Amino acid sequence: MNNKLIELKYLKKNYETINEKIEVLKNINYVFEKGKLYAIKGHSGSGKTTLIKILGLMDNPSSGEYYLFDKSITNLKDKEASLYRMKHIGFIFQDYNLNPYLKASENIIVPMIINKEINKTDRNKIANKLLKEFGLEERANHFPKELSGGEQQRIAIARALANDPDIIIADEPTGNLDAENEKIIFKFLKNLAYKGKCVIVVSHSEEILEYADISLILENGILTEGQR
Amino acid sequence: MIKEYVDDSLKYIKRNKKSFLLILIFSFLFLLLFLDIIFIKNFHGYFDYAINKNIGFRTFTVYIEKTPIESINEIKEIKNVTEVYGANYKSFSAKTDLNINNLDGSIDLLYGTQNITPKSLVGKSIEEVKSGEMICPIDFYPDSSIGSLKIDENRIVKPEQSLNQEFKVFYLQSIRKIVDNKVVEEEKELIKKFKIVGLYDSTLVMNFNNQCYITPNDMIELQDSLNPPMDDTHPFSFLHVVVDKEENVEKTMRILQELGYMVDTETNATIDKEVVTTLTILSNTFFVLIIGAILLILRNYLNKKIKSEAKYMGILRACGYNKKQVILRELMGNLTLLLISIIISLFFVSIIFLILEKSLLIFLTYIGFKVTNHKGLLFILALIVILISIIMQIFIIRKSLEKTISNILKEE
Repeated sequence: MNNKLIELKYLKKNYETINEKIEVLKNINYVFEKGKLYAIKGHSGSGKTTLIKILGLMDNPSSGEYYLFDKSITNLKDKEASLYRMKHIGFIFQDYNLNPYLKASENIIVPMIINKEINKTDRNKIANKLLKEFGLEERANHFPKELSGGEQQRIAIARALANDPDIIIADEPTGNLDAENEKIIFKFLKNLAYKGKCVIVVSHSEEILEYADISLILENGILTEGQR
Repeated sequence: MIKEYVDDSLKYIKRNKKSFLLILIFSFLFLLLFLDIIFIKNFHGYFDYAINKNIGFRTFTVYIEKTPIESINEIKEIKNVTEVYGANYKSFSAKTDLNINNLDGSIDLLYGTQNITPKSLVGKSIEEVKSGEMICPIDFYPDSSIGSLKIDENRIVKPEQSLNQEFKVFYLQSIRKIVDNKVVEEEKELIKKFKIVGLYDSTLVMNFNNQCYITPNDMIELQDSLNPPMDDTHPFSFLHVVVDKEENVEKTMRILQELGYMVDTETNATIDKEVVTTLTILSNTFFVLIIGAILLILRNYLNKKIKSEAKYMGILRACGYNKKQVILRELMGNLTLLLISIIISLFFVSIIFLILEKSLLIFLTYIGFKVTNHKGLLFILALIVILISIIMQIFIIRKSLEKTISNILKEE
């Protein structure tokens, strides 16, 4: 069975300043598969953010190819890239960035507003289902300021899953959480991979290695599989 | 999708106390702006109206040295001159025995000829009027309080009451007697019977509701009775010249001066141009200041709001919103706030206008001037402000959008 979801071929990213050309990502060749949790580790300045931006279609590589479902989606225009993001990619960030004036369920609905395949009734159903899945059904009508950090992050994850994406990209998702909440979040992410999603987590936490199927190390712009 | 954006905006406004304050500020500023516009338009509208309707703005006085007949004939030959008559026959304030609707019967009689009298709506026209007959306003109000335009609508004399109404006009006659070789002047009250034979619309010429037109001969009879001319061949020295249009007044004055007449260069009705200019400058300055304040507050608000929402916009982008969708979402949010403010201010404009129209400015309706709230213009103005705000927003949001992704991802 072909589990290949993302394939990066000879992917490079350079930043040019007046005096020099910085090669942030160097010839990356890698295949990300469905149903796996990838933990990307690397020192500051190793190119993690750049890689995430490219994987999340928020930046284009300088050269090389990006394949999604065996289709090249390198250098898409904003409108197409946004559509791919909406359908296939869910983002989780360190800061939860929930809209403070929207209730928990309304925050989850935000990504679905632009999804023409989901009607208004279904939006509420999906939001309620996600809230239940994350054990937050009783918090549906609470505003973010009335929720704990862990609860806010779970709402943010639910929001990332609203359009049922194939890929989840999490950038330091537990950076603002205590150890207990960190475990809960990692368990959720592991569970998502178990359900067939491709979960890519960038984290400084050693805890992630316990949950990751594959550990990746990004060092000086080179991506290699590390030891679990 | 737009509906959802508006729904979210309404939730934001409802749940954010600062939005209420901002709506209050914007509503107040828009209210001031709209009232200022209404004032400017009505102020100028009133003068244009008065200049077009009030015959006084195209009537002026000339001093004559020749005999009146010679002068009148000569002046009447000038193009654009519609009427010439002795200045002392312009009007006559009369007491009458008209005691309809508890009014005191004071009327103002005017020199009536075909060229300066409006067409009658009911009954005879001025050219058919004979001695002892007159044409009065259709909303007749024979009372001395008319000068202050304090009209009790319930006491206005209806056409069926006024037409064919016969009454007496009291006037004085000056009698000179020689007593002990001295000339002594005595006054004797005379009575002349009149009948209302036609009714005209006083608003067409901005007349008061007690001003009636009589024949030139009746006017001469009433006026000369108290002030008999000293010289029968030269009974008066001043003429009123009526010109067809206000813009022809200066030209006609110049022609008369060239013919050797001494012309009073001020028309019978004038506008204090200094007051008009000052008020115009003040209201225009106020307008610019308010517009400036609205745009400045709007810009600061947008800058702050968009800056504070930069990360959230990044989230929206990450969720799959394209740049246009993020701009539209933000735009709808701010436009909803602006539109609510405009609707509130328009509502208050309507209320204030209604109060003014029904109480303070009602007198203007009696001289035919209708104060209008220029709703169309207000909508256009609101639209312009909205358009400027849209351009402003697109510019600010686009600028901010460039950084949104960096805002949410921790840059290495």
